[in-house]
Amino acid sequence: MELLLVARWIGYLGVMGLVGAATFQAIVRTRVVPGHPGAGSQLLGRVRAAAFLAAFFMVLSLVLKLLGQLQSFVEPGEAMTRELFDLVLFESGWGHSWQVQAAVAAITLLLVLLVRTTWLLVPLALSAAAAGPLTGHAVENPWGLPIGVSLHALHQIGGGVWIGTLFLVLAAGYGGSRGMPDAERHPLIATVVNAYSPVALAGVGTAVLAGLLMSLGYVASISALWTTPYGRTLLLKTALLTATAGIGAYNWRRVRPRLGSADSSARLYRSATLELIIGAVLLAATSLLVAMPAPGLE
Amino acid sequence: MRKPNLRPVLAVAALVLLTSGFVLHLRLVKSFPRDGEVLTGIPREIRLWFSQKPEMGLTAIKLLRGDSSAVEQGKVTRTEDSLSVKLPLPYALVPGGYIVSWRTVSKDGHVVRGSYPFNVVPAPPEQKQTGHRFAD
Repeated sequence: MELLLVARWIGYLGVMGLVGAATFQAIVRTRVVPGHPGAGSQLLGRVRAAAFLAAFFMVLSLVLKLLGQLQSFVEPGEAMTRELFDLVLFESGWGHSWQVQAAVAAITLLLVLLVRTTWLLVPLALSAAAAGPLTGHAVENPWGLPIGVSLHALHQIGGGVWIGTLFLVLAAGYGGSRGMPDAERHPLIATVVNAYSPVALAGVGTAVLAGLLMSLGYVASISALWTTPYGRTLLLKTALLTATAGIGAYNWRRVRPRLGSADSSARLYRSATLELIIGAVLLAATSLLVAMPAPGLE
Repeated sequence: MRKPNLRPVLAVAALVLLTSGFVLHLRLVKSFPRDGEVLTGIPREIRLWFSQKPEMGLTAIKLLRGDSSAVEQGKVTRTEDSLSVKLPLPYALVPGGYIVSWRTVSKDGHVVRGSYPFNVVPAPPEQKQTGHRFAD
C-alpha cells in the first residue's frame, strides 16, 4: 500500500504541475509577451521545463502504480507470476484504465520534449486530468462513470489551476526573471501575480464545487471523523486545506497589492513557498485518504 | 470598495472536506458457510457475496484445513448473481476445522482480502446425511 500511496502522490503532483504549466503559459502569452516579448520567451522556456518535469512525474507515478498494484496481489512469500501480471494488466478493468493513463503520459512526455508550442499543454493537461480518475473511485461513482470521472477531473483541474499555477509563478515567474534588472523584474512579477490571482480563485472555486458534488454521492458519518483513523486523517486534510487557503488569502489580500519592489517580491516568494509546501502535504494526505475504506461502510 | 465575504466560500469548503474522500470499497457481505458456522452437512461449494461486482479473473478463494494445508478444489466461477462467486468442492469435506481465504478486486483496482473459519462436524446418527449446496 505504501508504494501505491507514493505513486498516487507523485501522480497528483505531475497532473497538477501540468495543469499549472498550461495555465501559466496562457497568463504569460496574454499578459507578458505583448509588452515584453523577451521576458515572455524566458518565462515560456521555464514553462516547458516545468511541463517536462510534470510529465516525467506522471510516467514515474504510473510505473510505481503498476508495481504497487501487482504487489498488492502477491501473498507474503509468493513470487509474481507472468499469469498474474497478464491478468492485472490486460484482463482487468484497472489494467485497461492504466493503459489509457500510460498512453496519455507517454504522449505528453513525447510532445513536451519535441514540440515548443506551449498552448499544446492545454489539451495535454485536460487529457491527463481526465485519465487520472480512471483507476480510482470515480469509476464507482453512484451517478455513473462519466459523471464520476468528470467531477474528479474538474476537482484536479481546479486544484491544478490553483496550486500548480502557483508553482509555475515561483519556478517560472521568479526563476525565469532572475538576471533581469530589478526595475524590470519586480513589475513583471507583479504583472504575473496579479494575472494569477483571479485565476487561482476560479481554480479554488472549481475544486470546491466539484468536490462538493462528488461528496453528495457518498454517505458520511460525522462522528466517525474523530473515532476512526480515516476520520482523523480527513480532519488533518481539512486543517491542511484551511491552512493552504488561509495563506493564499493572505497573499491575495495583503501581499499582492504591495507588489512591485524587491521586498514585496521576496515576501510573496516566502509565503507562496509555504503555501506550496502545505499544498504538497495536503496532496499526500489525499493520497492516503483515497486508499482507506470509509468507516461508515465497513 | 467592499471587501468580498469569504465566509460562504470557507463554509462550503469545510462541507466539502467533511464529506469528500469517503470511498465505497468492495467488501464481503455474506458467505456460505458463514464465518464461524458449524455445519453438520457436507458443503459442496463455497459461496461469497460482495457489495460490488468483483473482477472475476482476479478473484481467488482458497480452502485450507486447520493445519493450513490446501484442500483440493475447483475453479472460482460466477453465479447467477453478478455480486457473488462460488468455488465448487469436488470432494466431501471430512469433519474438522477449515479456513476460507479469499481475495478479490473492485473495478477501481482496490484489492480486498479476508479469511474466516468454519467447522464441519459429523451429523447425528438419526439425521439423514444431506449435502449442503449452499444456504440463502
